[in-house]
Amino acid sequence: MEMITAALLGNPNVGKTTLFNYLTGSNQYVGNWAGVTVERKEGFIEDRIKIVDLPGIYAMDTYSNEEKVSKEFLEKGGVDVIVNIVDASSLSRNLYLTLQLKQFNKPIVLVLNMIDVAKTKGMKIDYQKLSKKLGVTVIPISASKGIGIEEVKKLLKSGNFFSLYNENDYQYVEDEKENYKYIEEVLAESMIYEGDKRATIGERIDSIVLNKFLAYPLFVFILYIIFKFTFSWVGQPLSDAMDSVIITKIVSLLDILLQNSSSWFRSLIIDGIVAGVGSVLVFLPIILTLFLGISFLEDSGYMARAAFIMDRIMRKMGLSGKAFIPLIIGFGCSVPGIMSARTLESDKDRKLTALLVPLMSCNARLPVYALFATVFFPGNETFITFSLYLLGIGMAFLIGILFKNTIFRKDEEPFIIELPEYKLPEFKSLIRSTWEKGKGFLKKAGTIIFAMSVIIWFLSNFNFSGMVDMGNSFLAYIGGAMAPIFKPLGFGTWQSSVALLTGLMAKEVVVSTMGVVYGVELQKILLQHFTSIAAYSYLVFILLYTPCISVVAVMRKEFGNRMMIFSVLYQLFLAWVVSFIVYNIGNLVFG
Amino acid sequence: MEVIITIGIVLLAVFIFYKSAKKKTTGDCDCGSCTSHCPLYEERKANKSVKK
Ligand SMILES: Nc1nc2c(ncn2[C@@H]2O[C@H](COP(=O)(O)OP(=O)(O)OP(=O)(O)O)[C@@H](O)[C@H]2O)c(=O)[nH]1
Ligand SMILES: [Mg+2]
Repeated sequence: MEMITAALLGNPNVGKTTLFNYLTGSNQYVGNWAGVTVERKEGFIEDRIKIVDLPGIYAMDTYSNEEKVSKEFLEKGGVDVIVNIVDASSLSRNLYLTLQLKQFNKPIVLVLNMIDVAKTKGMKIDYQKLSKKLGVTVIPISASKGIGIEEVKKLLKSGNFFSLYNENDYQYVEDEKENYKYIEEVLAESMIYEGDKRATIGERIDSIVLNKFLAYPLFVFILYIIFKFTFSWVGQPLSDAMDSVIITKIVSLLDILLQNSSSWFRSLIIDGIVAGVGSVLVFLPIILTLFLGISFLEDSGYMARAAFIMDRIMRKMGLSGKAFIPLIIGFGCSVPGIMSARTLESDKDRKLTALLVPLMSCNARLPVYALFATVFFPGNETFITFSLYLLGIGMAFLIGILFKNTIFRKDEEPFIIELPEYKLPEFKSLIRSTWEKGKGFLKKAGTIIFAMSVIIWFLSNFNFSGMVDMGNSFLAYIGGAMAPIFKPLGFGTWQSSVALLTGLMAKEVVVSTMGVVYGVELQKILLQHFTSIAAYSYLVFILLYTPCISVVAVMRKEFGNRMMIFSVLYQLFLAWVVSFIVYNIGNLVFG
Repeated sequence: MEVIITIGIVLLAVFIFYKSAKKKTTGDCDCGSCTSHCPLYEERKANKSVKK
């Protein structure tokens, strides 16, 4: 039997990916803002029906990247049926695309998503009439609640899309107004509007959240609450518990088990593997809580507003608010952040955004902040970590302005963002996306962090003449050579220098390196090696210096060698200068 | 015995290191946070299903 190809098309943020995930059982990123899906994704139902998730588009007549992807696929992808998903609660705008899709002369299944929202908005839709009027099959669903999806599946499986493909009297015309007039006519007959009960609440929230004076303070405040949640209320306490209960237990257990083995072997297991992996692993709760908070913001609809209010600031850097989305993704990991810069229209926008993304503090750096903040700034962990994130954002802003006025001169482009409805995020999807990230972190701990810990243990206990004192090891030698560079920044020890180097593999490895070279009693020993100002200066350096090699490689893959070298060098330079300033001013003020 | 375990651990570590360094430097990523919302993750998955 032949494979049926169904293309999922619709405006941005109408729930295409949510439906896609349901139909195909995959786990694609769903976010409550426009422009989440940027490339087409494929999935299958029973290996018989190919479903293709396409980026959201408003129309087919402008030439953004997303539209090109979608249009090209419709023309050349061998599409058998178009599954056009529309937001049932704003049909008049959504159906415009439907009219255009009809030009492709393919059967269309019109999936009315978010009927739950339409209902609370007080809309009653006559599906039969709508179907007749438009000459397409209509299926009402609610993708996020799983209602009506079986219907869609059944229809796709039956392969019988043409049954309702008649009475197709209206054709799309060039005149935009005519089309909208026609849509209004259709809706007048098939929809009753009983008055909105909910929009007023959303509007009221927006009048505060988007208020000229309140917007930015509120944004900072909301971020602060999330950090408070992470570092004072939930994440940090859990981390501490994990540290004192689990890690300490494991160490004492291993101590007993390894009582009779040679001291070097005990050192490998305890000072190498357990200290290296454990020192990072204890931060799992912090990472999970921070991301729970961020997922909450995304799903609730606030993130899209953040992008909206950021538009004004971003514009000063010569970027549109749209570039804010790659930057936000960069808080998770710079790699997808840089890749999602692909959505931006102009080449200059893409490059400038990609250069700024690594300045957003990715979550691999979080364990380093958390470690130093608990050791050097007990009681102020939230504030310290928060200040680093803000410093990253502030730096991105300054660098953006600098680059705009030097290497990336350009004209401004308009930015349209659609503000999604506010929603109470669904518990299940919050947990799922948080767990995804947790899984990634665990995997990383079990692979690269483990491997690096073992390697670092060897390098820090051996040199060419065999096993030696740590001060004479390979690692001490390498670190010692680098240390003078960092002396003016306050952290000129070989240990801290070499951790910056190993941290290039993955930023968490900075912590495991310290775990290995300083031993299991890391927290106490650290206090002897840094002053608090030097510790902060070190964190600033970690925030700003060259990102991990994955990011460097992606930079090269997306933009070529020159951009890669430039980004590595400018970040090194920036990190050095800013740390130098922070350290010296800090010493003047507090020292 | 200890030596054998150590050799095992080292081989494993070097193997993981080699694999992940290769992945990372070719622009393929194995960073902990890029799970389902990372385009790279998708590309990898897509490649796999094509090969199948
Ligand atoms: N209330 C409600 N929310 C829904 C429904 N379907 C999807 N959503 C939410 O709508 C938002 C957007 O969903 P996505 O699936 O990412 O939308 P998309 O069309 O793929 O968006 P782009 O990829 O940006 O074009 C998410 O927050 C979903 O949870 C629904 O039936 N009811
Ligand atoms: Mg999508």
